[in-house]
Amino acid sequence: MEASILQLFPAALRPFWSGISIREERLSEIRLRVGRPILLVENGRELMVDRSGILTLHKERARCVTQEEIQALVQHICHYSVYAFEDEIRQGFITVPGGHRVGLAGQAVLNPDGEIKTIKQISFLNIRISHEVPGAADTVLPYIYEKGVPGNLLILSPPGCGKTTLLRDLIRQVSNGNPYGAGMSVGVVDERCELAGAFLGVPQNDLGMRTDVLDACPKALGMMLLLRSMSPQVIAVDELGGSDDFRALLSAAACGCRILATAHADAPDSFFRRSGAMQLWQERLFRHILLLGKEDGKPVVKRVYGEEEIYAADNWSDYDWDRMSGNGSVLATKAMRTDTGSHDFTEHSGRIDEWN
Amino acid sequence: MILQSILEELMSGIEYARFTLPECCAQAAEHFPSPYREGLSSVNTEMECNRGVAFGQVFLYCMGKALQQTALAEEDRAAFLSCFEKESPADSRLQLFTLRKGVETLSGIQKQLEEDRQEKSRVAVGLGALSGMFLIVLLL
Repeated sequence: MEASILQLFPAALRPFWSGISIREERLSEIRLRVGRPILLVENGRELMVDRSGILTLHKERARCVTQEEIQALVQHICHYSVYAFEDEIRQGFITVPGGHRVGLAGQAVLNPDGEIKTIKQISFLNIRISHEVPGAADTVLPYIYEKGVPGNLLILSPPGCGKTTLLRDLIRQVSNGNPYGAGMSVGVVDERCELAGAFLGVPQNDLGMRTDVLDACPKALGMMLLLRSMSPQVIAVDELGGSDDFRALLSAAACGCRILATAHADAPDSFFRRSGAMQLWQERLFRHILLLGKEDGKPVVKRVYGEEEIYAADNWSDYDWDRMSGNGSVLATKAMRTDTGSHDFTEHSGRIDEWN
Repeated sequence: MILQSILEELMSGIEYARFTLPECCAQAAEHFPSPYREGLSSVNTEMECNRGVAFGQVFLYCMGKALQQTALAEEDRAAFLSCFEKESPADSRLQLFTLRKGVETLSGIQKQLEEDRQEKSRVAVGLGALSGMFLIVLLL
């Protein structure tokens, strides 16, 4: 079968990329910048490509990308119908068959109200290669299930540590059922089209047999819509952002839904410092927090925070509560204590490695 | 007339559902008789195969082949196929404008053809009448 990343390229570029596409399983990113060398990210390591498609570490030998190639690539990715991807371009990425995501940058064109209308002169592409890892959540499941149902879970990590990969497998296992609980109906709000990797409405990744996906919809809006229309038992969202998302999460939890969510943060305290996030802490929304990181370039679960630790008052004693619950500006002076009560996942269950 | 209808069908696919051009062809194929149906659906099938060939080239090849089986004038065919020669613009309004221009060009050609035909028929009638009169004069 032809490698799926090769399908991203128009015919003229395929001979060059055919050798690179063989390494698809190991690649996590392909970065293309006009007038700059092609960069491949493989197991956290950057590699360049020479004119004959052979990997090199020498910048002088590296092949540079031309504006015409980027244009041809964008046209091809958009099925020669760029207008049909207006919304995706406005958001800065296009999801392609295989669930891969192509990030775009160039010159932003703004509306009179200051919002991005489109991106013109696209000169930078970041092809993020999606890797489905069935079983990635196996070692996490025993921690989050209680009496046959999953507790509300938040997965935190800096970018590129496997949050989405872990959440995707969790959704699949919760939906299909697993040794710790029967299958449950899951509603997924896939705002960035990364979880299901839907291309033209068709999910490219397996999210399980009881999963409904609302694609390319803002999370806060999508959670409310799913609650009304699909009555999910579990709601899953990727990359929580603003206070609207947090309010919607609380509403969903109040309706009896279980929550599976991820966010960019390097520790629970830096997440709860965000504007509006403190309410989640005050409402004791999450039963567990998983903190992911990288070891030797591979994603690992660094810690599992239990309820006692997340909501231990002395972890937060130095915070300015008034400002915290007010305008979101925070005087944080002390990091959340991490030396008591939490599970060291690496010791208990071994690493969740080989995701890439 | 049928070529204009095809372009209008493609336009409605873009306007109504933001379909991509290959999807528009697949949708439109259901509403037209053979060989247009086969031509349009083969455009979508070819694009789904993803051989890396641009839509314009695929459209030109598949529809060009289908149009050869019709009695349409070469001028009509060329005007129709030229709508897809250029790269797709980033704005749907521009894409619709390109197709609308194609419809107008085809309408213009049709109007011109009708006027030519009327002119020709007028000349034919005139010539017929003249030759009839000439024949009567000869017989007398």
